[in-house]
Amino acid sequence: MATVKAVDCVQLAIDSKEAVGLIGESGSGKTMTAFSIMRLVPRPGRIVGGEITFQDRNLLELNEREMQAVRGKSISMIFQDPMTYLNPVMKIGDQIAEVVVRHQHIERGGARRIALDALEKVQMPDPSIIMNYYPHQLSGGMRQRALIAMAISCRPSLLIADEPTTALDVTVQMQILGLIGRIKEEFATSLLLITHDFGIVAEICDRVYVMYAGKIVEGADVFALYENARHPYTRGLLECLLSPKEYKETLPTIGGFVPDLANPPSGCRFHPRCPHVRPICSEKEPPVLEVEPGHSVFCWLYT
Amino acid sequence: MPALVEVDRLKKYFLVKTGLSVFRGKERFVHAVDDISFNIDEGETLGLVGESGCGKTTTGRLALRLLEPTAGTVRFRGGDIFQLDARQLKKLRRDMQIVFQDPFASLNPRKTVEQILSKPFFLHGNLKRSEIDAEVLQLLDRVGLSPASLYINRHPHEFSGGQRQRIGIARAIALNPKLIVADEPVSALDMSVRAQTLNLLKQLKREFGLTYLFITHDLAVVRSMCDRVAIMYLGKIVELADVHELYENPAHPYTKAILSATPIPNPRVARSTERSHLTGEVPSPIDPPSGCRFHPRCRYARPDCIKEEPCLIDIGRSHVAACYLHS
Repeated sequence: MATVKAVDCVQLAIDSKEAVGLIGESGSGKTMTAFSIMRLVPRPGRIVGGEITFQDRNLLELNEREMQAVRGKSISMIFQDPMTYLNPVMKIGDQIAEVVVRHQHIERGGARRIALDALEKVQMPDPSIIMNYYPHQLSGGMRQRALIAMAISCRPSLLIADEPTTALDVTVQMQILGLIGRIKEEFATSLLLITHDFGIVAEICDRVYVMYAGKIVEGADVFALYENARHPYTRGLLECLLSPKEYKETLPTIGGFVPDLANPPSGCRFHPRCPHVRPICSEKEPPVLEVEPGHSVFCWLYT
Repeated sequence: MPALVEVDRLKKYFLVKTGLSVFRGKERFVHAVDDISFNIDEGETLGLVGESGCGKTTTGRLALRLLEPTAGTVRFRGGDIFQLDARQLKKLRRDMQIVFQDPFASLNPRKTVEQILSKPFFLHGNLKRSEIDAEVLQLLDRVGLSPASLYINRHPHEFSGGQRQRIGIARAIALNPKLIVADEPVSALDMSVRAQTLNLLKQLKREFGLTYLFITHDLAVVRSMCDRVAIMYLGKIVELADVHELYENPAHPYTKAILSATPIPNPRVARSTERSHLTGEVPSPIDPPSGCRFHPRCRYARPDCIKEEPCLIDIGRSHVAACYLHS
């Protein structure tokens, strides 16, 4: 049996009311990072070390009951595929009210009023009718709105959004991104947005972390990252982005393939693909370096 | 120069039954492709762009006669492909191939790469076994999987998504086709691998003089890949133009909306760009809206738009759009 270190020594911080993007390719460990914060890592995976401090408490030290009081109330999460996370045999209104009853100890009538209010907040068309619909009766965009309504019904301090628009069409994607941005402002919520799409980070995030093969390789303010990326992986990614604003004859690429995490490369995990590789890169893991205030990078180039 | 592919008034309706048959469920039709016409010139890449359910994949399959149409014709080098008998069609299949979106579903997991790539030669050629082996090795080399001998006996699960898509592309170019329908060929791939695959498609086009029908929902990819673009909405082509012209002077409100909704990977530009948000979602293709199918979501809709369907109008610079704003 091999051990896959899906998330390895990841360190990230989200300030109050801040929108932080976590970007990476498939298998980079970004979703597992989010599941770790929620303590929902699926078996046989487990958290083997570290600390998750949320409002001055270490979440890893809470017992399951205490953690349940956090999940869905102080921290809530929305997902790429809302159909998987909505109960198919329960009406939308009842599902949202259930969360409210569970966390706020309000009687059912009051909870339904809060549910209706949440559906209005996410601009669901005809919310009072949708309350009585089942998930299969809704379109993809409406399901995502319903899931967001459920996530905000208890006014969380942190909203984790894992690829919330990947399954949606572009016109609906823009609507949902706009909605997430507005909700963040209105409820003064912090946001952790997980995505593979730099375009989405560019639209709504304040700060970004870039993940590669289970590690964070760079973290910076969104403008600093775009204009002054330091890590060769980040630079490579930014170069091979396609924009509707510009034609590229030959597209820049990053050579090679993403490594297997059961057997990751030694030293810096990016070294087999890195154009600036040096002997030390394959020997030792690079230390974190603050190249500018608030801009840190894990790379031997800057030591 | 005659067009390689001429699509004329093509329609495809799918029958759906609603309700239980014992209660005499109603027969209804999904209007997947509804009266579209376009040409693809030899050596060009035509982008076919639209949101899910707009009929772009159905169009691609009709163009290869993987589906039979409800009405209309597709001519390949002047001959109607729907009139061919089985033998003639098999001959034609050498010249038209497809690359699928999902590199996990489109390769047989029980076959080795060698078996997958030698199949087209067994079906269509009269090469000797040793000649086929040489062809397969050369194919792997062409799509950048070298040294070929390292990969040839592996099964699909031993490859990453990007490598599998290369195998799918190798299979498509095996018999030197003229036309390749690429149906969302990079949508399932990661960013860094996406650019590699697009470069490969461009390079193969140059080397073999291929013609592509490039189906995608991503306008950022189209800009760098296509010569001309057709925009589809609910089974109709609403706009068709050269790629540069379309991005600089979009004419149809729907085209403007999807261009405006495509994320721009630059925070300064993204945040200073005025966005025209579309409301609502794509209606059901079972009962498409009357008149212009876009009218329920269009901010310029006027009474004409609800009554009668606009046809594609030439607005100059070989640019056509189906909208009353331009008549």
